[in-house]
Amino acid sequence: MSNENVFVVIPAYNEAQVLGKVLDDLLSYPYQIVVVDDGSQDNTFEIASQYQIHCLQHKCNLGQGAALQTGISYVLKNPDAEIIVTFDADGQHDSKEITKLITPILVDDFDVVLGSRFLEKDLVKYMPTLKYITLKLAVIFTRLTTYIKVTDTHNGFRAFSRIGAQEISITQNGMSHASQILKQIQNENLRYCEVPVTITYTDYSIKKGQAVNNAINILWDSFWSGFN
Amino acid sequence: MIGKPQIFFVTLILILAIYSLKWRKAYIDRIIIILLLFLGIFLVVFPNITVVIANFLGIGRGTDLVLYLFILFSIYMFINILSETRNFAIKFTQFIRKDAIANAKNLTKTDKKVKKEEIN
Repeated sequence: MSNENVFVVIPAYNEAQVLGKVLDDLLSYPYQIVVVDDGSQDNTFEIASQYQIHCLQHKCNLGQGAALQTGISYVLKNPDAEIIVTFDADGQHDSKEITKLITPILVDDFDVVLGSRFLEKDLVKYMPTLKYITLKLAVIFTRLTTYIKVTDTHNGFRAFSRIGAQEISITQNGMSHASQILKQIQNENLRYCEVPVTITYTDYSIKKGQAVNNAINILWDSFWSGFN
Repeated sequence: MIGKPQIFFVTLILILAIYSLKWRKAYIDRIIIILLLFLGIFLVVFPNITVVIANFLGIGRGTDLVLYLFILFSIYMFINILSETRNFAIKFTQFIRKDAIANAKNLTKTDKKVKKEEIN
């Protein structure tokens, strides 16, 4: 398999400030890059269009889950696509670590590889306390509601094999897609593992991040989704 | 104290909730809404009937019965609107996604080469 068959999907909403830097960095690798602009009000799409990548645009804002699914559906249309990596647009992930995420798929035939910021303690750089508590509660909630044993449930850095990506179908348009992916891993019996990844918290990413105030929304969504 | 009428109404609420979320059919919804409309008119025209039904069900007053029915109706409508909104959101998402994929711009190197060859 060549690295050209690895697709990096980046959902982006109002990320004009940092997207260029993230793309500059990613383009030094041989992966194919897919940016899904989720109906941004700033010029995120124009910036993405300046690069030699795949650019998609939602005509209006739907949410990160929806943007991810659009990117995944787009990539799966390409029969050569073998691995899909999801990567955040705000620069908190490290492009060097993509290799780490795709290795378990190539070597051990895993379907899904999940990035975790909690596997190695010192990988969490400048994490706000409230965010830490919320994320830990999310992990406890997941332990209670699924059999999936992961240490980080809301990490946007993931890798899917083609088969894994085909089995995942994100219908939670907002931030609840993270729990939905875990539920589907369980229901479809996908082979998954966790890999430690670095999350760099900058003032920008903290301002953009919303794990804390979204916790209630996520609980609400997962309650109602039980009926669907 | 929890008596038989309370259990009856709570069960009714749960059945309605499960119906609305799981087995909902548009024509059954319409039948239920029309029946409820007629029931509403009927109870306004013959208010004394509520007392009779309330006594029959073991609820103290007619107003209590009307209150219970109103709560039942509100929950039913709330869940219906919620699930209708969600159906709409799903369709809307599919529409936006289809559009995004159809208009995707492939600006990768390989694509540009193809374009150049086409021009030559």
